[in-house]
Amino acid sequence: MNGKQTPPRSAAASFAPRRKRLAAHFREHKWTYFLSALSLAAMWGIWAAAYFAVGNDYVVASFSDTVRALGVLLGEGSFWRAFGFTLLRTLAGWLLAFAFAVLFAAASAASKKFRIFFAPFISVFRTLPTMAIALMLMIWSDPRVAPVIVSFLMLFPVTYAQLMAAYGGIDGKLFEMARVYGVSRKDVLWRIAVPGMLPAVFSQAGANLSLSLKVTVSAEVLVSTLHSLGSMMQNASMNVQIARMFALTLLALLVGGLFAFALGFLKRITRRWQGGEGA
Amino acid sequence: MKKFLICAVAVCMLAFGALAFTACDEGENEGAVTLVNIANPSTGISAAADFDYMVAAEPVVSAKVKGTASAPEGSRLVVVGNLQELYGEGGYPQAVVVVKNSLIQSDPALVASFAEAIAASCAWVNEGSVDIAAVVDAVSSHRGGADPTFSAANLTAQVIENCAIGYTSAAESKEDVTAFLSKLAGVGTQKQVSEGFFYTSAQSAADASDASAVIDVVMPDGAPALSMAKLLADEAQFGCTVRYSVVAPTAIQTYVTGNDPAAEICVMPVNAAANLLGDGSNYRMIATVTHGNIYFLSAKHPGLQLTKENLSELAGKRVGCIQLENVVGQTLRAVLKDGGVEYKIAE
Repeated sequence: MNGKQTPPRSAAASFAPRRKRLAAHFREHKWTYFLSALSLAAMWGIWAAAYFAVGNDYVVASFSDTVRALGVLLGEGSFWRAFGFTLLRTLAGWLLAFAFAVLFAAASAASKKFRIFFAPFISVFRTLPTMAIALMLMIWSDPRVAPVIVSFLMLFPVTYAQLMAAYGGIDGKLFEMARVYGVSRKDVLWRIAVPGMLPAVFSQAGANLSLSLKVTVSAEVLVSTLHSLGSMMQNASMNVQIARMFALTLLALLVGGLFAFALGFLKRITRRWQGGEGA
Repeated sequence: MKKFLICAVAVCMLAFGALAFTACDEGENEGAVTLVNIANPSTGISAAADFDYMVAAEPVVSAKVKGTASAPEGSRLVVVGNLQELYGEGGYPQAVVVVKNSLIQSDPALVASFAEAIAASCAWVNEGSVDIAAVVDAVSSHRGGADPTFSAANLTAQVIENCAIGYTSAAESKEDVTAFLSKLAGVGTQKQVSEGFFYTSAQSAADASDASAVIDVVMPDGAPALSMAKLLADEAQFGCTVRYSVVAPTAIQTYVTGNDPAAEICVMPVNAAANLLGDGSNYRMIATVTHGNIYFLSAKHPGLQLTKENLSELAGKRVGCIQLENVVGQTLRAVLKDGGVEYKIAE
C-alpha cells in the first residue's frame, strides 16, 4: 500500500475501456463487417439492375418507391395489427414444432422401436404438399389458425431431424458409463440425451424461426387469413400496388434477418452449457 | 471425383431436358386460341404476363384496371370483352341456391320465405343507393377469420353491377340451366341434371313451423355472398335459428356432401351443383342468383372490343383464364366452340 488514493473516475474515463473493447472488436472482425456490407450492397445492386433491365414499375418497383411505400405502411394501424398477428402465428408454429419435436425426439432416443415406428410419419410430414391439406385446413380449422398448423407441419420434421442428428453425435461412452453406473432411463434421457440434442436445435433456432415466418406468410396467402401480412401482400398484388408488395416483402426479409441475428445469441448459451458444466 | 462429375453432368442434363420438355409447345394447330390456366389471379393477371388476353372475375377485373390506369400504354389493362354477353343475352346461370330435401319436405313454407328473402336481397344489393360499407360488413362479418373477397377498397356500385346479381326462380331458369349445362358437357365432362333437381312448387311463404329448428345457410365468398348480403346484414332468422357462413369457394362442396351434409341451404356454382346433386335426391335447386361476372382484359390489344362477330380475332392468340378446368374455363370454351373458334389448352 502506498497511501495513494485513487482519484474519482470521470465519465469519459469510465467509457474508455469500453471504447477500446469496441475498437478491438471491430479490428478483429473488420472483414466480417466489410463483407456483410458488401453483400448487402450486391443485393441492392441486383435489385437496381433488375429494375432498370425490366423497366416497368408494375413488375419491379424501384428502391425509392419501395422505401416510400414502407414509410406509408409503418404509419398504418392496420399494418401493425396484421404484422403483430403474423408474428404471433410465426412464433406459435415455431414453438409448437420445437416442443413436439423435443418430446418425440426424446421418445425416439429412449426407444429404438418408437424411432423406427415414427420414421415413416416424419417422411410424410416432410414431403406433404401444403396444397394437399389446404382444403382440409379450410374446413376443419380457422383461417387464423391454419397458417400455424402449416408452419408446424413444415418445422416439426426439420427440428426433429436436427435433434436426432444431434443425438447421433452424442458420445456413446456417456451412455455406456450411464449403463455401468446403473443410471435410470429417465436420467439418461433428461440429463444426457436431451441436453446433448438441444444445442444443435438452439443453434438453428434463428434459421427455423425465419423459415416459420416465410411459411406462415405463404399459408396466410393460401387461406386468405384476415389481419395478416399474407393477405396484405395478396391485396397489394391484386390492386397492382407493386411498391407496397415489395415493401411488405422487404419487411418480411428484415424481420427474418433480425430473428436469425437475435437468436444467434443462443449459440453462446449452448457453448457455455456444453463447456461449462462439470469442467 | 470422376464418378461424381459424371453423376453431376447426368443430373444436369436430366434437369435441363425436363425443363425443355415442359417449356416446349405442342406445335400443332397454330391458328387455334391457346388457353392457359391462371392459378393465382392476383399475380397471374398482369400486363406483363405473356398473354394477349386474360379472363378474370370481379373484383379482380376492376382492381387491375384501376391499378394500371396511370400506366403507359402497353402496361395498362382495359376491359375488352364481356363473357356473359358473348355467351348470350342475360348471361349464363353461374351460382344457384340449393335446399336440402328434408327441409323442403318438413317446411316448404319456410323455403318459400327464404326464396322471397333472397330475391329481396338481390334487389337490395343492386340498388344504386345501397350502402357499400353495410354490404361489405355483412359479408365480412360472416367470413370467419378470412380476408373477404370484397372490401371497402374494391367494392363499388359498378363492381356490383358487373357481378350480374339477380334472382331467377328455378321455374324461370330451368331452361337456361339445362341449356348451359349441355353446352358445358359439349366441352368437358359435365353431368346433366334430372327433372327432379328443380324445385318449382309455388308455396306461400311463412316463418319456420318449428321454432327450435337450426338452419345452416352456407355460401362461397364473392358474388354469391353479395346476393345474400341483405340476409347476412339482417341476420334474418325466419322464426327459428339460422346460421350464416361465408366460406372459401374451394370448400363449398364439402357442405353439401357426405353422410350428413352440413348445409340446409347452400349457394354454389351451377356446374358443381349439377355434378354433385344433379339427381335431386338430397338437394334441389330453388333459384339462380348470379349470371356471370367474367370479363376479358388486355394490355396488348386495348382497342378491340370482343363481340360474337369478331371472336375469330382470338385465333392464334394466347388467352390466360382463371379456373380453366372449372365453370369459367368451360364457359369460355363453350363460347369459343359456338363461335367456331378452335382452341387448344396449353399443358
